[in-house]
Amino acid sequence: MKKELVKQELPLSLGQINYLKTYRQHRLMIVMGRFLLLTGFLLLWEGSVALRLLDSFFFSSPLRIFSLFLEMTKDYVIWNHIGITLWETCISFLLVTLFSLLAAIGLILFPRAAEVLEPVLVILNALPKSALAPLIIVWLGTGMRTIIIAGMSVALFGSIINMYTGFSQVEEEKIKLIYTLGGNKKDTLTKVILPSSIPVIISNMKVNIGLCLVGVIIGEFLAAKEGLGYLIIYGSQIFKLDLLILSILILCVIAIVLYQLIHLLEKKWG
Amino acid sequence: MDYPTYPDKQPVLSLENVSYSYHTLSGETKALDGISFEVSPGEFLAIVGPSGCGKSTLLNLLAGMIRPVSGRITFHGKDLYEAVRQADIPQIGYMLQHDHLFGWRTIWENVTLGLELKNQMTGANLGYVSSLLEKYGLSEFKGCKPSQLSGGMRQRAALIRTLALNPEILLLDEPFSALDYQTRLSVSGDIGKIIRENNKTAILVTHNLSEAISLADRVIVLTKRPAKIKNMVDISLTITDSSPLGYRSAPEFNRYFNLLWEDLWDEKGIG
Repeated sequence: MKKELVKQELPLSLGQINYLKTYRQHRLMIVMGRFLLLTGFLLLWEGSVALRLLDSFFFSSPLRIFSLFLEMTKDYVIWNHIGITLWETCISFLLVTLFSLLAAIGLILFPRAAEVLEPVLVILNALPKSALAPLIIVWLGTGMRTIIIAGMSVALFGSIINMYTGFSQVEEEKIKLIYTLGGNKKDTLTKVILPSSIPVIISNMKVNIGLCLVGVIIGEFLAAKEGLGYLIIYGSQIFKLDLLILSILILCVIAIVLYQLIHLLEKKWG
Repeated sequence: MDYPTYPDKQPVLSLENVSYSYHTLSGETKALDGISFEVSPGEFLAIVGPSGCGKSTLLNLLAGMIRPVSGRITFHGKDLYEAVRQADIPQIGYMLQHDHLFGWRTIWENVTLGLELKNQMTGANLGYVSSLLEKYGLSEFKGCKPSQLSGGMRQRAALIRTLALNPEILLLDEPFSALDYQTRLSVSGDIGKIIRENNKTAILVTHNLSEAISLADRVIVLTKRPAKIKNMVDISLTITDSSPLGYRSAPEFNRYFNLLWEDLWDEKGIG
């Protein structure tokens, strides 16, 4: 800290001033470029629909989507759907994180069991998980429980494998150190494996939150009366493309926000 | 061959005809073959030998991590493997090649790791660790993370972590090999001094003959695999100052060096 303060007090050299100027210009160009890309796209879309180059029945338009959003916020309908999807995603994400952490700990403590279970995990992970959703519906019926499990099914097995791999890559010598200091197997887990795997656990969470959202949407396609997945299917069935595209845009925002939240976590602890 | 004996002192460690083999699907590899020697209290013993001859296996046996296939290792007359498992507090400290200080712990949390594992965080023990840090110039870095320390400081911290449990014997597995040459010279000098000041019995495994001669009271030369004892040389240097250079400029240094070098050369060089 002290060093940084001292550095700032020193007068900047001409070269440094020029460098900072070029850097700021570069950043400004990038931000402007992105802004122009977005507004250009929206204007092109809206303009094409207004000039009847695109059929608004199939392609909707930015203004129509926005006015639908305002309308749906008046009676809180949209917030309800967003809330349901968010809730289901968060619950399945938390359960996936918890279960895969426990499973990976179990596998690292019982290497023989890990060896036996390895092919099972590989097969379950390789399976296209969306194929499981109809089976889950038959077993558990429709409703939130099914959707949460559908969300979990997409992320769980990959998450177990990733965490277990991360745990087993801890340096052998660090584990030996614990034994030389008189520690036992439990100590190798709590003092070395878990603390050194925190970056692995967090980067795994980053992948899981996205996958859970995918699983929840698949579940809502098939077995829901509420949620953004339901709105997408409903919108397509009644050819209300405004509703369909609005739901997809909201999903984009949700995915970004959830990812950024974990990213903040990573910055703090990763 | 003339084996030195210490008739006045009971040995701390004694190896009788110790052998060890590794097994893999492609066959058996004999690592050690009939090793016998004794270590007296307070002695500093160095073990040198060609690369891959089984030096690390020998240290793992002495740490009680593995058990000899045949022969006997005793610690104060009791079977070492059992004694290590029965001890409440480890009596044999082991310093590995790399410092392995944990990046998520401060220096203080690192050096007290052994006490924490053994539930020995008593005032007296922590006071002892504090005094070690103070004495060896690390007390102002207590709150730092290992990445903020130099290689030599990290190695001293690793030694203090080992000393914190106050073990009777220290095993050192090439603890300086990861350091650059200058740091290596000064740290090996420091660590030799710390071990002597704290009256520890030490067994050092190394590739480096100068290091072995300047630190040890006795050097054991092993043959190539399967390792047998080729020679044992008592070291006695006439020194004027106890710096790393002081040891190396002792009049006897070159004679010892040539003697050990020839022994190793017979075994087709040092790896």
